[in-house]
Amino acid sequence: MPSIWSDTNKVEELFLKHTDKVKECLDVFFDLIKMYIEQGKSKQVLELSEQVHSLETEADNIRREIIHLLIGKSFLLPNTRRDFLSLLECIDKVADYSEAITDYIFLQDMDISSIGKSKLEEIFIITEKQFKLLQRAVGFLFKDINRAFELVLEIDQLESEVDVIERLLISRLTKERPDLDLCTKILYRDFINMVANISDKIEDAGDEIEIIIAMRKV
Amino acid sequence: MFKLFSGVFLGWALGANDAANIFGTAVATRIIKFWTAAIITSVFVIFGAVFEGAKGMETLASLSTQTLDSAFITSLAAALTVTLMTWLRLPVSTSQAVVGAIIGAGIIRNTIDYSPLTKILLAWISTPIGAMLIAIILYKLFSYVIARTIRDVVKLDQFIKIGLVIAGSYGAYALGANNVANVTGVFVKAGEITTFQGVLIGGLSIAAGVATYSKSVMLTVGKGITELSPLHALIAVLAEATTVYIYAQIGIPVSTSQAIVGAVIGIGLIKGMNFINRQTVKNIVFGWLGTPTIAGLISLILTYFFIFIT
Repeated sequence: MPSIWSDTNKVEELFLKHTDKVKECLDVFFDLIKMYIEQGKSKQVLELSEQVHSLETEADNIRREIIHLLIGKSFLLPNTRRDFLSLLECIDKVADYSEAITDYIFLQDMDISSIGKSKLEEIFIITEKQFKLLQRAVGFLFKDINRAFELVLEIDQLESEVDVIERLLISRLTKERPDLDLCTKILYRDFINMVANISDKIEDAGDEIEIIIAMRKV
Repeated sequence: MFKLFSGVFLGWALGANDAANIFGTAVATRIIKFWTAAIITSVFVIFGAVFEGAKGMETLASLSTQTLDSAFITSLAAALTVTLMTWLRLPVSTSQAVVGAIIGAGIIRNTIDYSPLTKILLAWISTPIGAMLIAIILYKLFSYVIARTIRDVVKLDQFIKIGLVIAGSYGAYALGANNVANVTGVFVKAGEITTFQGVLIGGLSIAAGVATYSKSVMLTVGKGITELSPLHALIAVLAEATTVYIYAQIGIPVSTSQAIVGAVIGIGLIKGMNFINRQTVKNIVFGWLGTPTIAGLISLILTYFFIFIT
């Protein structure tokens, strides 16, 4: 019996550690983009890029530890293990996307300074808020699922706000930027989509939490 | 003594079939390992049979007088019916097969007392209905208690897992207490064995069926009702066990299959899921009418030939 309780605590502990690591990765990624807009590929920006990569790897390592614990031990019901694994994958995608966008702008050597810094920052602020709510919702899965459910609803609302900004930025590209060639417009559009997709991934993780709760309502 | 073999065979078939109604969902969804379920069921079936199995024997005994030969033929007819219907994949209830077989043999031997039959038929009809009502009450109770006490996903899992083991043990105990009369009741009435020997042999033969041949039935039955969440499965098993246990106290052997179907329908009614389809109703009605009729006919033919050759 003591093993069961210590293992269940370990799952909670590792989940929170994983979301912390993903949050750290996301924060560094936002700093990187803000700095990249101002400085381009500076030394500092390259250092931040290294940090994004290493934080993503650390998050991956924790994710593997959780998978090992969930698969190796049978203290959770099979459907709960499956649901937790889906949730874990969704949360991890936030770090994956941060890393992928970093690679994307570096490989394309993109100049993103003219996309609209203030609007991008708005997306970052909302996405950060969303992720903080997600972190709390994950914590509440192990304490009070009703509270987790309320937080998930807030995540959904914030995602809609990001969608509005995403559409605005893309429409600006087509309507207000005759100076850009089609290829650059496509690169910019993809970049905007990718940044907004982080919010989608957080929403997906929220949806997973919603399913976990809904399936356990009596 | 070899004539007791037909009773043991019937007990084995009962164990192989009915364990699925207790741990089917838990094993099929891998919440509990088959061997854990088989050991728990076997142990508690024996306990139920030994401690509370004698009451049902009195009811079955009151249907007809028995000799060793008639007991042998009755058990054999019931066992053949259960085996045949299982092979044909038709729904079958051992309790209903045994009653049909007793009546079939009694008609030829002119030893039937029809007066306890009304009580038995009413019990059969009220088994799924009772299980449905108990499931609804338990559902309401669980909703109230869980919403106020367990708000953590992991703790809810622990509750369900431990609950399924407890409900399964209770279900196995109720199965042993209620259904052991089907297995050896006629031999006790014939005076071949004592009541204690009857419940012990009956319990052991049901346990043997659980341990050796119930896995495939568990997986088939369990997967058929996996539309239920683990918590709903727990409520269904608990409602089934309670219903069967109540009839063990009244002393009438009933069908665990019909009890679990009734419980699942009860949960479906509350959740707004329709588990009542034409096939389900057909299966229940067939259990009430078809099973005893077929068992009765087999028993009648066997008794007729036995009298003819002796």
